[in-house]
Amino acid sequence: MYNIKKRIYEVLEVSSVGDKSSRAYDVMITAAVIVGLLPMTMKGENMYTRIIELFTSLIFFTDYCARVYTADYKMGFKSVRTYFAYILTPLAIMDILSILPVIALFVPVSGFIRLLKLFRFFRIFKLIRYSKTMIIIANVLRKVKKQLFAVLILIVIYIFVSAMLVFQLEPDLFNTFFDALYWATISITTIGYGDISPVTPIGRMITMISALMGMAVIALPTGIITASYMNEITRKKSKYEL
Amino acid sequence: MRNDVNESSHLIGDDGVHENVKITQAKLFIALCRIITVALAILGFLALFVGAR
Repeated sequence: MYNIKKRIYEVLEVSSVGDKSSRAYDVMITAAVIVGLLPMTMKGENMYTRIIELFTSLIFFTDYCARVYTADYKMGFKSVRTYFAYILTPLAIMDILSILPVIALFVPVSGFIRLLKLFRFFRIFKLIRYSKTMIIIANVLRKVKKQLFAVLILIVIYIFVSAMLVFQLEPDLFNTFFDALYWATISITTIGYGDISPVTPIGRMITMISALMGMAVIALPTGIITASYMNEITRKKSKYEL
Repeated sequence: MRNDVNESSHLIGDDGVHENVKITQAKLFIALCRIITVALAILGFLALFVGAR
């Protein structure tokens, strides 16, 4: 018996070889994502950017509703909880966030509404579904998220400690504590814009230590992700060889 | 009698005519997706062209 729900699910998912409908749909969504991001490359708005916003939001909304409708196939079990479980998955949350900017077309622009327009960048994450490499990277990040979180905490603590030290030692250099945090972040990541730079010997000593520590600390996430990525590639290779 | 590739998608109407409903629906869907893709490309080009002026 022809199961229309299953067919919708097959079309929504990444196309398999020979499935022309799914392939046409994948191309349409990719085009909608790319064109939907164009307004972010322009300073002002014009009639065409508004039409693009409306049109792409309609496409994404339809896509989102279809994905929620076929959530039981995606999640692998039939239950009312399946639909709620799917709505709370990261990709589904990004899907709904990428639709929100359309509100700016109908509501007078205020501070919050202007911020909503930035949510357009979530649309780029929709492309993760259509790239095997991106799916591998997403799996890798999921596996090492605890280690990455631990390193992130370490980096944040270090930034705060550096900022507090320099803020106390050079109060004339920084207007607010946020400026000190900004300086600490730029130093530890070894970017070093030079817009804020300490002048006292102790301030400069802290900068030097910060830069040296930064090289080690900032390299940690790179090592963790690279090791996990190599393990994933090796695992996939051995799976195919068996 | 001609053998078609996918007989499970065939319906036989009251007058005995074979209809290939699923293939027609798929073709319409593919055409719709392609039209939307082309429309998006044209809109994107126009937005860039007007925005650049």
